[in-house]
Amino acid sequence: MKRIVTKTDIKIIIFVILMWITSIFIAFFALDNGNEKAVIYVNGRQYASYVFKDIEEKEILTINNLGENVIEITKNGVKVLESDCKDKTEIRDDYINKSYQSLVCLPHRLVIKIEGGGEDIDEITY
Amino acid sequence: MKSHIRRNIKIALFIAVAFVLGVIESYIPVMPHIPGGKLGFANIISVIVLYLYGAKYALFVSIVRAFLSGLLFSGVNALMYSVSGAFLSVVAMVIVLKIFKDKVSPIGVCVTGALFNNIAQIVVAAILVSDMSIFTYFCFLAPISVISGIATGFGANYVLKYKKNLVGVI
Repeated sequence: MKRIVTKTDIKIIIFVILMWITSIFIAFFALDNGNEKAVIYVNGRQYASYVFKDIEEKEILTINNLGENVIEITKNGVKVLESDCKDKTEIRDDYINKSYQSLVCLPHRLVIKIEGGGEDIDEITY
Repeated sequence: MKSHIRRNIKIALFIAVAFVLGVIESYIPVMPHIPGGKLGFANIISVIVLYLYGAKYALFVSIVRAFLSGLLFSGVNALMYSVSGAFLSVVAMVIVLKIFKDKVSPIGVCVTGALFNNIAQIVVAAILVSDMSIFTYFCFLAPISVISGIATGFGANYVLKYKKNLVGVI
């Protein structure tokens, strides 16, 4: 009795799944096109964005929204220096500069994300 | 009726069916923000034509159908995605058939077709947008293409099982 799904089919499917997994690794860990920026969202709306490449020394900004956060942005990443937040989850030892990293201060409604360079497309009608 | 006339009529009908399938699938939202995140129903027609009539006709049906769909529904911009996707997917399917011959069933062929359709679209998108981060979309499109490929593969397999009865009728 002949099988409907042959062994080669399964090999092809496994190949595709492997490609998928590698692409996930590449996309999140290796893809850096040099134009990353730190985007700061306050109350859900974009407040400021800084392209890492363009920063000469460092930028420090203080955001006072329901509380105070002092943010430092350098060529290597973004970091929260101080915050009068109860949690202090957004204060880490190191800078963040990868697209899967973010700093969030929920009580102050502050979100700092890393977004890639290139043009920002919201939607492509298809 | 001369056989080549009959064949051309059937090819035209296949293009029409593929077109309608494209219309139907455009109503199913897969991923709103991803260009070309489609289910690839029309792939089933490409595979059937590939098995019944060969590579040249499969290529013809795919590209003409992509062209028609693109012109009527999207615009010249999205046309590039569809046509390149159609082209690359048929080429990939032909290569897979040549390499594996009888060891691969329409299911494997369909999966590669769906995969390369999405690969082509992502590459075109990356070129147009000049941003490699488009590549991350692949992470979402890949599983979709596998699942839709398997589904269309079963469909094509079912149709082609009755190939002997069909060649006279279809």
